[in-house]
Amino acid sequence: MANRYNQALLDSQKELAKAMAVLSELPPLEDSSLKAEVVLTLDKMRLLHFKQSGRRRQPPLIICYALVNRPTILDLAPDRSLVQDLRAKGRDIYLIDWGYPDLCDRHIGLDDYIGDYLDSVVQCVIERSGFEQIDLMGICQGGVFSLAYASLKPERVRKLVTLVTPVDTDVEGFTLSEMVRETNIEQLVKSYGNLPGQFLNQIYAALKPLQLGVVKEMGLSRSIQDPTSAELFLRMEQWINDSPDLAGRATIEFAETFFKGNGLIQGSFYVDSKAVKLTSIRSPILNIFGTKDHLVPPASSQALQTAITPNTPYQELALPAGHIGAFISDRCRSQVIDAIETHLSQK
Amino acid sequence: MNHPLLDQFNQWLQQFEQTGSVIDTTRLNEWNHLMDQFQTHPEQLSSNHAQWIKTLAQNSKAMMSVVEALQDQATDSSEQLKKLREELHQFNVQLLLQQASLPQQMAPLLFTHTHLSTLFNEEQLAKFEQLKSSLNTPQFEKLNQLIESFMQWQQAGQTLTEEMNQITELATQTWQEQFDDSLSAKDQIELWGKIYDNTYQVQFQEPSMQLAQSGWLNGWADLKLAWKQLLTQLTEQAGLPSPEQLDRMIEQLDQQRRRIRQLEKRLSALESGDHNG
Repeated sequence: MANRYNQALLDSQKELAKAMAVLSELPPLEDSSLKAEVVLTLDKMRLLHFKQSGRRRQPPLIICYALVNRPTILDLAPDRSLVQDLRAKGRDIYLIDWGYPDLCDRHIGLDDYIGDYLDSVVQCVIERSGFEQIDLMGICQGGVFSLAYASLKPERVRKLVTLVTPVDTDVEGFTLSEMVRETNIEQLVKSYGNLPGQFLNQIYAALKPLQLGVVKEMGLSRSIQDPTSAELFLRMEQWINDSPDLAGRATIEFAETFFKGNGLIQGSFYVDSKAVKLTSIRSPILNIFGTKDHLVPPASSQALQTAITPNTPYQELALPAGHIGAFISDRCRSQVIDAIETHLSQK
Repeated sequence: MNHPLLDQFNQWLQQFEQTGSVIDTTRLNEWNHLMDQFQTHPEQLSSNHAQWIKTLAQNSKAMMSVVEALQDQATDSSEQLKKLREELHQFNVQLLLQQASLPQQMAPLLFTHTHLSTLFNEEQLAKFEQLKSSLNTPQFEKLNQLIESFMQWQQAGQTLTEEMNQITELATQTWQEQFDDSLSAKDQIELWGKIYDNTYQVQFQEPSMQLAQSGWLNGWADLKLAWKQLLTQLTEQAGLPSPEQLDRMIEQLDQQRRRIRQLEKRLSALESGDHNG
């Protein structure tokens, strides 16, 4: 038994030495993410425009990311960028950057995010592009916002893409939803003002406490064994830890109506006093999700199919990946890009 | 580039390998010294990624102490398992407490540290009960509420730890059943991580676990609010701006922001009306 320990120890120390050597030679990480023209600013929100590379005439694509974490994940590095890959296909891309809410933003709610900011973004892009309709892609919580918008303003959305988006919060194995169910979010927000991003990160880590905790920590050296993998790993870590606080009111509303009330399915999700009805969506939908997603179970995303009308064209792309890997990993990204491209190009 | 500290570490590794990978006290002390150096002066190796050098050294030391603890019991598998359970219990407690560190100013009031190392025991709770009953005049009402909230949060933490220890117990059983001696240490650890997290997820379907987790979070929110109320009382007595006054000011700012936004929208509608007209 002692030999096994010693061998494991020797292996781990070799990895440690290698990681130290790689880090000693690694230059500082260059901030290459989200370099684009800011075309609209509303409070903390900015709308970024990644101009299309070709001359193809087609409606622009608006990407609506979640309030949680930063959209930098979509443009993590030059060779790992969903935004740049779509741009390379000739798409005209607009990306919503929600910014970093501070205490003055604690009263900003879902009416503001969806009814005002997202609506203003769509209006702005329509005016700039000259198209009457835009294409909309929502990621995770941004997918919920996009579904809400497409159901309230169906005439403005030509095509819809939802990526790792929760829809039904009552499905089995939705640990995050189960965590929220009995928690007094209002009291929690009242005590903090806004919900701190670091607090949220800990909640996410608590969904897989060992694999995202000790096991990950113990395997750190293994992720830093050559400059390329080290750079990617460090960029990912930088992204994970770059978590904006969540505006207090929006957090309460999202927890109460979407999670606890299963609002999209029950029809109890309201924006500007109007009920969000998924059956009102007319845009053809491409729904992409990861079959190994521990944050949003596939069944939650797939519930979209039965929640819309049978007349609305609906396709799914299930990828053998987790929540982020579904659109970031080398294995899945090209599949995602091709599927989105095909979906948006179809007449 | 030359890195003396890294060279020393490589030399240590070489010697460790040459001596049949047997670690004695002298070699362990040398290693500890090297890791301390990496932790204290990580910038010697990389000014760009000093924090990561520090983290790697820290983790490695933590890992070594667990391996040492387990190796002490290496001859007896039941003792080893017992030790592992103790380590996991400690891990659960740490995991919980890491999620909530007390505000610096609250700590001295509650006679504790900002990062607690353990949850309360009966004796400590009794002391707090005693303290609370000695402060039963109206002027100490807010402080008493804070102490009460603190005790409730601690008790909620006990309940949650009990639930998490059950998960540890179930996961350990599964691990024993699936234990495969031929797996490498790395694979063993990964297997353990998967088993634990699966058990954790299954247990989360149980209302008792959901209630325990939420009870602890709710207790934490109550504690923070009680602290805010005490601060409000103290700052108002001292004639300073209080947290509640700050809240009211933020609310007024928000109302103004909304009025401006409404005006912007009206202006924009008028402008587009003009163009259309």
